Amino acid sequence: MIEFGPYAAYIWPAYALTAGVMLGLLVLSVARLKRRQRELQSYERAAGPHRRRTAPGPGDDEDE
Amino acid sequence: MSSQAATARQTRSLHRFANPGRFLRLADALGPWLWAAAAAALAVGLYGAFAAPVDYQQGASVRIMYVHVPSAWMAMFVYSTIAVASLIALIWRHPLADLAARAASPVGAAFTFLALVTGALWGKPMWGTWWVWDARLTSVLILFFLYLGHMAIANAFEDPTRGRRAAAILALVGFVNVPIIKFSVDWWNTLHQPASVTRIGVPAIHPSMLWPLLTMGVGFTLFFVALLLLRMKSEIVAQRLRNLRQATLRGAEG
Repeated sequence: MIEFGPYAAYIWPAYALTAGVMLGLLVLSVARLKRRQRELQSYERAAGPHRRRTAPGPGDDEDE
Repeated sequence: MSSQAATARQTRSLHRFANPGRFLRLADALGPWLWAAAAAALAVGLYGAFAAPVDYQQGASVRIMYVHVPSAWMAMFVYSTIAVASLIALIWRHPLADLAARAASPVGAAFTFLALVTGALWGKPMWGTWWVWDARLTSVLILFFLYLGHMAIANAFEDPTRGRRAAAILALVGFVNVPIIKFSVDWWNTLHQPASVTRIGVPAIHPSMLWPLLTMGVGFTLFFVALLLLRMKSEIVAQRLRNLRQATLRGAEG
């Protein structure tokens, strides 16, 4: 059986905080990536035809 | 002639910046495996941390070690990663290196915060105090402020290139703090115990405690790598968005 003795009040906050910070980082990072991807998609749909009209420059071969 | 070549080079490097397809393909391919491996290592490590025996002196409070020590390792590992990335960014102007440094910084700050707070939670029952201004604790606090400075400075310039360069220089200068943290427990008198795992000879820690600790360390590292790739991808998308906006603005003007 797991023993905590008198230290449970220190052990649980340490684990809870670690889990909270790591999960928080993950959730925030994923949310920001999704938001930016959505924004980029709507932008590319709107601004796409504009870019096609410009003359191809050096290095444009890598594009899309 | 040479300025033309420089402009062409710049265009190429900017272009790579806008569309680093190879990196994105690699990140997308590795991502799921890294997350799965991180979750597995953390699950096994957690099981080990709670199955491990209690310390004969510290009792159950030793369980805090399994989150405190990996957090502290990551605090230094992430900073070292940022320093290496900054060096690559300054010397070779590799655009992904700048992105890596920028994406890693808040993660490192979070791990340093965890190391400080879990350390305080361990210090209170064991040392009788949440905090002492000794070499180890103070140098880790400085590391935390270096992270905050690095995050702030990159966004403090009108011109993002200058901001990134200033942040890279700060990261390199601040790297001197990493060996100070590592050896602080040997060089100065401190309440903090010296290294138990990376000792010459055998580790001063029983295998039943060592394996969960190392597994947690592996889990934290995999978590960081997976998160770094995800955040770099996010920075690339943000950069593309900025480029598109600028192109649209230029199109509207001309």
